[in-house]
Amino acid sequence: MAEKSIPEKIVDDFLEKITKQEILDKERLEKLKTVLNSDQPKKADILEAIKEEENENP
Amino acid sequence: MTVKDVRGIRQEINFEPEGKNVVIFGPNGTGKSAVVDAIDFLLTGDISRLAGRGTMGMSLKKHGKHIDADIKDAYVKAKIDLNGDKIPLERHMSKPKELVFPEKDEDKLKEVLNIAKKGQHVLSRSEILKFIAAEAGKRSEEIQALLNLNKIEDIRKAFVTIKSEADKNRRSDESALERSKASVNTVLGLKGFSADEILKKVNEIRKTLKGEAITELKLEKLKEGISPRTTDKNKQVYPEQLKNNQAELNKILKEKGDEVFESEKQLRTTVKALKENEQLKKDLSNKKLLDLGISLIDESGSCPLCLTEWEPGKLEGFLRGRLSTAEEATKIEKQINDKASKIEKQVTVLKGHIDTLTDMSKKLEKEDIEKDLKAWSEILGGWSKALREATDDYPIDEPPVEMKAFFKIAQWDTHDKELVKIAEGLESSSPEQKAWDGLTALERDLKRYFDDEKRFKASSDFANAAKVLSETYSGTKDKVLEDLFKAVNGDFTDYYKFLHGDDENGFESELKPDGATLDFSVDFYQRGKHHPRALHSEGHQDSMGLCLYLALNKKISEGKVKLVILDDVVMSIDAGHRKNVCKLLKKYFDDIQFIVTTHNRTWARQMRTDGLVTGKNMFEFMGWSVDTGPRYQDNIPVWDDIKKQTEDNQIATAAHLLREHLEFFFEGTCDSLRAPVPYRTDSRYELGYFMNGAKGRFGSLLKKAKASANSWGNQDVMDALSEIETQHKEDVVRTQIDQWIINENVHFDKLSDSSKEDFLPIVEAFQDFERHYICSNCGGKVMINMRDTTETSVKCPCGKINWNLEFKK
Repeated sequence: MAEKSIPEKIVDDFLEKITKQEILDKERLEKLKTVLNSDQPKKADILEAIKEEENENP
Repeated sequence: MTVKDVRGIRQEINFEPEGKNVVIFGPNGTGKSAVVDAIDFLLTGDISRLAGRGTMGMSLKKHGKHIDADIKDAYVKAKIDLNGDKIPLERHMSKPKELVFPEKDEDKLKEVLNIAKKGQHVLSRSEILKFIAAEAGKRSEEIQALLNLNKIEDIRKAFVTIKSEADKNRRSDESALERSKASVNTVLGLKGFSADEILKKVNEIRKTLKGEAITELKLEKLKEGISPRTTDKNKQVYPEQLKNNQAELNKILKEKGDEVFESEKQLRTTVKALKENEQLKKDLSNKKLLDLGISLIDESGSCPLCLTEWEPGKLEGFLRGRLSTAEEATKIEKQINDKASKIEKQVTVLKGHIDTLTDMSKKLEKEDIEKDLKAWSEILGGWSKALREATDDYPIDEPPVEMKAFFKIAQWDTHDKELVKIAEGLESSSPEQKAWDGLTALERDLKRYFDDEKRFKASSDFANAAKVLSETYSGTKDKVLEDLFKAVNGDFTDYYKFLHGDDENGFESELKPDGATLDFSVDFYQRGKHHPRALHSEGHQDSMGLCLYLALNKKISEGKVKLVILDDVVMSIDAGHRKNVCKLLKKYFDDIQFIVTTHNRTWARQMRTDGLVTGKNMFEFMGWSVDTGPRYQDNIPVWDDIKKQTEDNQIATAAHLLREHLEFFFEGTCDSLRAPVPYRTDSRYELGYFMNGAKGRFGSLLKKAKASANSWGNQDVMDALSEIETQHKEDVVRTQIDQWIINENVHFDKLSDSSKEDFLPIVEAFQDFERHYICSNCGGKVMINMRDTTETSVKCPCGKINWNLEFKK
């Protein structure tokens, strides 16, 4: 298996820690993973991935 | 590799290095770097020289092709060797994003191209200086770019920005919540906000209205089980509410003045520190501009201001890189915002009470009070705005005039007294109506409180999450990079000691990431660690840059891209240490193909002499013209070229080429054999100086080798050497016949009288003569080996030629 690049390693280690800390639910974690592994993650995309959807009628 | 119409290359040029190292040498402006650009273009679809800082106005589309060429004619084609598979690649300037290769090879190429497209296989001298001479922040930026870590930094910055925006939202929601709490307290006449106290008051009101006590503070429960009454909300002014508002307002004026006064003083001190530091001011101003610029870049990635075309993402990456220089200014900006926000919270609550009283005055038709209160509120509103923009234009010497309004307006005492009287005189409603009206007012304020509380909780939770995400990402990044730089530092130290171990054997270094910076310090003769530029010579700095790049490249290439281009990078390293560079590259990077360009002929020769490159892969660029591109020669075709010119009866051209080639060849031979050449202060050495030096030295070394073989009683070696000696002598004689023809002072007309029949034997004689100095196996030149001052042997790089010069004792 190919060795991970530095950015890949950082993203993997980061997501592992975040998963353990239970900061984000599974769905948001998956979204964040997709964004961070994309070629050029944008702030707006990261924000969208981690922000809980607005629920007007809780 | 074939290149046509790329940068300075016009006519199609071909190289066949067959996976081996290549040296391209020649004076400046002969097109060497165009070859580097062509390789860059083939592998990445871009030319790094045309991108990034200082390249405004340059573009691949306009400047990637030869200036006179049609873009459709510009291309690079090459066959690359991937673990034994020879794969053809080609890229055309008209379609730079499209690399053409056989479909079946896609999987094999994918990973390698992903790494290669980062383009870090090229090291130029300007990049060396970026690593060594740069400030920590800048170095970090450059090395991150080299390691393609920009994405990592972009993510870090995105998390930091998200965290900071989330904090800002939390602060704003907290202010709104405070205002709501103040309103609820005012309606119920409470001193502090407490759910129990509110519930107690609510139940008192409900009791008046014959309602049962409730146990939970919920909106839908407030009026549950109570018969509704009517209230004219537009006209009604509740005396208790009026009194409570007045009391709260007076309380703030009395109790919060000192606190606000002190906070405002601290705020001005911090703003002053920022405003009096020109660099911080400039950084902050740049930061604002850069933030705005980044927010305006659209999908195309082009500059929103001057409309210059940028590859998508590149301009943003470039601007984000510049943002890192404003770290200190950002820190101070945060301090100012925190202090200003604290004051603004108080101002907002005070303004809230004034606004409520203004509204009541209107209902009471007290126009003079309404007018003054409105003006008061507007002044405070102006101060709030100034506080929100404190980093931009907040006064530093004296408090703003609006601040005086926090400590009341001149007419307030009069109005306050009048309002008290009005409240007393207001017709008192029945206790039930009062209770109902109070409950209605509470319902409105409590709803706002619950909404604000919900909003604050959400923004608070998000701010906490954003903080953890930002800190965890930064921590993870630092840890991974620390490990990376530890490994890089280890390799760097080994390489540097290999080059300079003769005088810096105790050399140590430290490469340490620290937030957005990368500190780099190196030992100076066991006298502590210093900035690499502080004490080391320029040559040592070049060595450091090269070693650091090689150490970094080991990580970048991940063992998959076995190509490194060194574009004129050892200029300041002295000849002795350059020799070590050859050894270093051979020892540690035997599996890497190096393409080295240099304008230094001695260095080029050295690489050949030391076996880093064979003669076949030495390409000399001798001239360049805009119409034809580079004029170059390599060592094998030069003889074909000379013979072709001879066949075409272009004797003057052939003679010129022959002389030029022989001068270069025998200059190098004198160097590799340490042959004596008469010294000239004007350095105007002609062919005769080098050729006589080389052949004389060759003859004397042959004699010494024979004598050595004799001392060992090795007859076979003696015979072989005698044969070489005889042949060498004969070839020397052949070259002396008609040697005048290659004399540079011979007039052109005289040469024109010569025919190919006259000249061809001369060419062949010199070619045969030259072969004595080159190994037929490896193509490398013979060179003398020394142990201290003792001559030990004459060898070629592969060892096929090996004359022992030591005698049996």
